[in-house]
Amino acid sequence: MSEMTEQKRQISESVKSYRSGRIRRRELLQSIIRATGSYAAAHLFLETSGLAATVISTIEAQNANVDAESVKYPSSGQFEMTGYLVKPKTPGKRRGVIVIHENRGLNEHIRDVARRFASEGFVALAPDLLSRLGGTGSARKPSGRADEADESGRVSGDAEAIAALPLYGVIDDLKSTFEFLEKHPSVEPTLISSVGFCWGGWRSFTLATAVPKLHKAVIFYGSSPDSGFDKIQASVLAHYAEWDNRITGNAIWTKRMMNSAGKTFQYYIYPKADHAFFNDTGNRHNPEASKLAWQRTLEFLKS
Amino acid sequence: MLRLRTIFCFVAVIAIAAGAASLMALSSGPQRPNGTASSTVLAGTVKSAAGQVLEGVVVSAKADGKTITTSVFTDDDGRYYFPPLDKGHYRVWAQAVGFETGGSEIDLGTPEAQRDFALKTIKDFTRQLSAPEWMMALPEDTFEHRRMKAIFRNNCAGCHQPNFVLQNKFDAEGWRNIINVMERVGIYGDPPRLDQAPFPLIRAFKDELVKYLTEMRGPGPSPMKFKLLPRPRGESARVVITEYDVTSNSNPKEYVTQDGSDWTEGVPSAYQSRGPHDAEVDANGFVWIVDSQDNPARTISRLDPKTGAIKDFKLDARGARKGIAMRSHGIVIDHKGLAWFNADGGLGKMDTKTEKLEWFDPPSTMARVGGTLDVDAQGMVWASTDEGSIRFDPAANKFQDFKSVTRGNEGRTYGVAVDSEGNCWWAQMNYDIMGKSDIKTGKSLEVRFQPRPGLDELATPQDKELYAITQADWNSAPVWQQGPRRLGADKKGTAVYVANWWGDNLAKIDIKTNKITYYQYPNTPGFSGVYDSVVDKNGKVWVNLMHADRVARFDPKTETWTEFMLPSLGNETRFIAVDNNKPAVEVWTPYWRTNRIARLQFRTNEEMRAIKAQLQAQRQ
Repeated sequence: MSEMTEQKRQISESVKSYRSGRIRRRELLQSIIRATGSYAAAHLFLETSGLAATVISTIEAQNANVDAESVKYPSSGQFEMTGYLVKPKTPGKRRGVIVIHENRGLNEHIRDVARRFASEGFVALAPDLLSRLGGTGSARKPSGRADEADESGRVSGDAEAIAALPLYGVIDDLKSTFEFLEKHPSVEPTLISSVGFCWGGWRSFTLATAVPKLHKAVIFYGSSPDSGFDKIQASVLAHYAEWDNRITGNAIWTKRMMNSAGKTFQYYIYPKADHAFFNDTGNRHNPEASKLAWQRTLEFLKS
Repeated sequence: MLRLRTIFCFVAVIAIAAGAASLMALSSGPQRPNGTASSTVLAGTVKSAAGQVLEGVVVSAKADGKTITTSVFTDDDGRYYFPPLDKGHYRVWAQAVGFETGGSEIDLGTPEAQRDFALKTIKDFTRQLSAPEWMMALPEDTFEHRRMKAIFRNNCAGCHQPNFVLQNKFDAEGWRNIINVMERVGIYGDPPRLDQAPFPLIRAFKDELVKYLTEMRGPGPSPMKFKLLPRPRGESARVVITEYDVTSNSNPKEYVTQDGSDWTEGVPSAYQSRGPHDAEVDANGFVWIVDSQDNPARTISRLDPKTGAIKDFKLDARGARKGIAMRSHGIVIDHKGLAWFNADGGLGKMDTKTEKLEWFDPPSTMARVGGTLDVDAQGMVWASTDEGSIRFDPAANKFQDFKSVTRGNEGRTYGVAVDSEGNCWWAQMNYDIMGKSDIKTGKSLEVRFQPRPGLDELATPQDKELYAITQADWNSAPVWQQGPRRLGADKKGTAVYVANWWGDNLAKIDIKTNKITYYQYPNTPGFSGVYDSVVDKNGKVWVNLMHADRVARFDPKTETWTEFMLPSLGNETRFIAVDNNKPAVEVWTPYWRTNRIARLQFRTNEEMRAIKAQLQAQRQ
């Protein structure tokens, strides 16, 4: 049996098991990572095969008892943004949350986080910030293996495409995402917050400097902007990992800047946790730290 | 800009060996100090313009159109003696800190082989100074001066020498602009991005560093007081150092022009070709150099020390890096003559006899091959990984990995060495921990270094709060960090020797008891830059001092050091190799910043007498 045929067989078996409820989402993803050889390749497969959007998303939305859909909206007058919108089934105005992905694009992990927010009563919108380059999965194919940066710090796949995105063009796309949510009938426009992971962490923080109407901002192991703290109106919460020197080490400086500007900033450092500890499909997942960070995030956003 | 030069790599010069009956085909390199008499011995005297004999002055010679510079030092009588050099037109120059560079030209091969120098004193000698001399000049009279010196030392001299920073003066705005770049620039000089987290310690101390550097090297008067290090004497002045220019890794006809060979120009700061990181010598005398910078042509290159010729070999990068060469860092040569090196996360193999290249990719379940390597007595190849170390069995074509006990994204490994029992030791530079494999059980162990003593006093409560969460990064660290960078093992003994970068010491670990003995580098106080160590066939330990532009030998029996000064400034050596194939050990160290590589050969008193005799015969 050829390697490709064997890979297809493994994936097919796993999808059958998942559809029938014998294995859960995380086990399915791990199985696909094993079959494809890497995190990046697995997520590319999920996105390009349609498995993520048509099968996993549908089943998981049902399981979570939420409504999920793909939405499109304009940005900067020239781009069409795609996003994954999830909301509770019950009617009424809800708090909104923008879920900003890692440097892997909008993948099944981020969709899952959005569903979790919806299960907690939020209207969650996870924009695909690679939209202006064609969208996650089609922007560029993964060129390397594994979900790790190479020794030079370079990364592969969608991460390469993400590195080509204009820094503040992405902030414009997030502003458009905020505006889309602001107009959404199910969203209370004064209670829209942002949550960003890794690459998305800097964008969540920077969005707070650019959109004074942002209610709150949460940063999961993301860097801080250099300036603009005086423009922030949102309270900011940051989750840092002990083993993430470069990012975590700037927590005190960030706190000093926020305090000097008279803003609210709170941070937590999770011991023996690594960068990306919240991503339950990655190899640095730390369940204990994730659980605590999630609980703190919900309390913060709901307060 | 790089200057084009003509290379005559394979021109053999026929010369009649003095005192020999046969014709010899000679190359353009210098002869062994005790080699058969041939060519010309260049000699002379160096004095000050006032007539004072100057000992320990470096005298260098380079033939027109050649890529090899030979350097020697004057003895206590101010006399210098080159090894026999091929005939040709040479540029000869003499250098000592505090004096103008003395320059001359000479045609060797004619009866004349004498050049004397009278060096004029120079008023501002700061650009000639070595890094330790700069560091010693930073005042320690107040707590704040001591504290900021320690902060500068551990945050502004990790990637480059401190004299690279201090040789220029800027006002406060200038220093701030520089630090704004430095707080984000990658270790390979990658352009900084605003969304990238800055080095936390540099960011946190930025305002204080701006103030400090403006006080030390600003437009106003500076409290710095310079004291010169003594010049080489005795054995240290008998060394012959041969520096080879390596071709640019992007154009085989180009060489670096700002190469540190004229000290009055200061530390080279131009971004010309750079990248010769590690190098090893094979049994045939060829030197295999791996390149650490992105380039289109070279993963590994071969230097012929006889001619200076460089031959490039490329492993093509895959994926998005396609079109450029796989990037390397470290190399080791096994007893079969196979050179093993890391390349884009895999393991490269070069058969030094057939020049056949291969590449091995570790399984996706294991970490990638990192930048330092060693081989054990069984021929197993060991390399660092982000998570510890990895072993490759060439016979079985199989990898096995060992993960650090104390892990974490920033606990990445730097140096590795395999001890006499076949266990690999790896340096977790950011944690002050040495990992160790236990090949019997397949598990990992660890040994911890103590913090640098006395440094705790230089941290304020605020500093301590900061250090507690930042910890150390590769090139930015709390003041008490030891920073185990690279290491060498005594293959016949029971010790590994670790170069502690921030600690500026050599740490000997007894592999049986794990007892650690620290040997502070004594000769260049301040910050010598103890980077790498290697043990030669005689049990002597060699270290390269990146900051001091020196190489030192440590004798474990007598616990004494002997220091050898390199003839050029600002070389940034990051590796040291010994050539145990030669009857007398020779030492090699690549100049990463200036794209060169140096060989050190050590002359005995007897060899000096032979050279003087040849010189005498030459004159008759």
